[in-house]
Amino acid sequence: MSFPLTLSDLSLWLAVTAIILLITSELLSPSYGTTSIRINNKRLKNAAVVVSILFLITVAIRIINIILEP
Amino acid sequence: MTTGFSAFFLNRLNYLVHSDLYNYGLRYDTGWVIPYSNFSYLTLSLMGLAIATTAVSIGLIFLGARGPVKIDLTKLVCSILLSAGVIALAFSISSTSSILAFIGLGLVFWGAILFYVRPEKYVKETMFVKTTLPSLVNLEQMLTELGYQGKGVYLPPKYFRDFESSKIYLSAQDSMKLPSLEQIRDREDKAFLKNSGVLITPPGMELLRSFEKTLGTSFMRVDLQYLEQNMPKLLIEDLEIAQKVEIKTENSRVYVRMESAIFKNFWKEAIKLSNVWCSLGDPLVSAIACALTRATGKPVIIEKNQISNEGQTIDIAYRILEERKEKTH
Repeated sequence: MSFPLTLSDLSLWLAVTAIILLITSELLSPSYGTTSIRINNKRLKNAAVVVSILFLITVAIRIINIILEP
Repeated sequence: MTTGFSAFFLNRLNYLVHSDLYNYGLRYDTGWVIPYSNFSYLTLSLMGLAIATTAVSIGLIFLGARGPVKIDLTKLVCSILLSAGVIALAFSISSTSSILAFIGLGLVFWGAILFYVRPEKYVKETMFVKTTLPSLVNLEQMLTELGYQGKGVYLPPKYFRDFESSKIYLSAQDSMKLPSLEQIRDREDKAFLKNSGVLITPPGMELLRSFEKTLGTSFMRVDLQYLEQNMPKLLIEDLEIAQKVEIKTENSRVYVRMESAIFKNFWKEAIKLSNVWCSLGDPLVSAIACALTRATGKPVIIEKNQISNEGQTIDIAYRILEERKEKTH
């Protein structure tokens, strides 16, 4: 019994989620013209940034692995 | 709990049949494998159903014990997504299924996101207009009956002992001559100044505090340039008050234009209160005036306050007054 997803799977999943969240948060931004959707845009933007950073961390881990591998 | 254990032991039994029994001579044959798999999946599904029914029953018993409660749809959806996600993740680990893991991860994530981005408490716009307007109507009646002709002058913090306070000085005569610092400081906590005018707390005082809290600074520590740069972002992105804000400074005048602000219906009503509208401004206009007077350290008046396009656009012109130096004896 082990977690079935590898780092590459997680990285891909994070990338897709980050793109969805970033686009959504930008489309819902008041400067784009939509303020009628009642969600906390600021928090959505924060979540999008956090997921993007997590994706970048997985990319960094993979790059380090490639460099350190003999 | 017992159903959970039963599911776990059934899973172990399946593992025993599909691995160990082959060492004792069991032969693979679709004749027995297909019915066996079907029955074991059916048993697992029924166990899942039993768990779900028990959970719903417990939930309903709790809700019943707490008396009539309003079900929050967002919370309910979040809880369902989170629970389904956790179950899918648990099954993905036990059955080493990456598809189930992706589904579980997605459900848990979106459940958590929905919970996190839930809106703060909102009030309907009509309620906002109806609750805010009466205080301005009272102010209008008071000013009309007193017959004060002067323009409202937003006083900078130096006029007060308490630097956090902010007041508007309204002269009894049609003049913009300000009383001395001492005169105002002596009557700081009173409304009327002897024979000269009245001190009013600005309608936008609390909104100004909200501006400062959101920006994380006091307007007394910033300058006009900071306001020009940060006020549009504050009103558009942070507080979502308007969709477009322009601030322009020309000599001693500051021009502000706002479009599609949430105050548009309020403005349509407030413009009828001519004294308050022209002299003091509504809460938003007043809050900006307070910010200007605190940032510049000089008195500020509202020179023009005009709405157009059915309240879609508002143009405000503020004038920063130069003070005459007081003679020292």
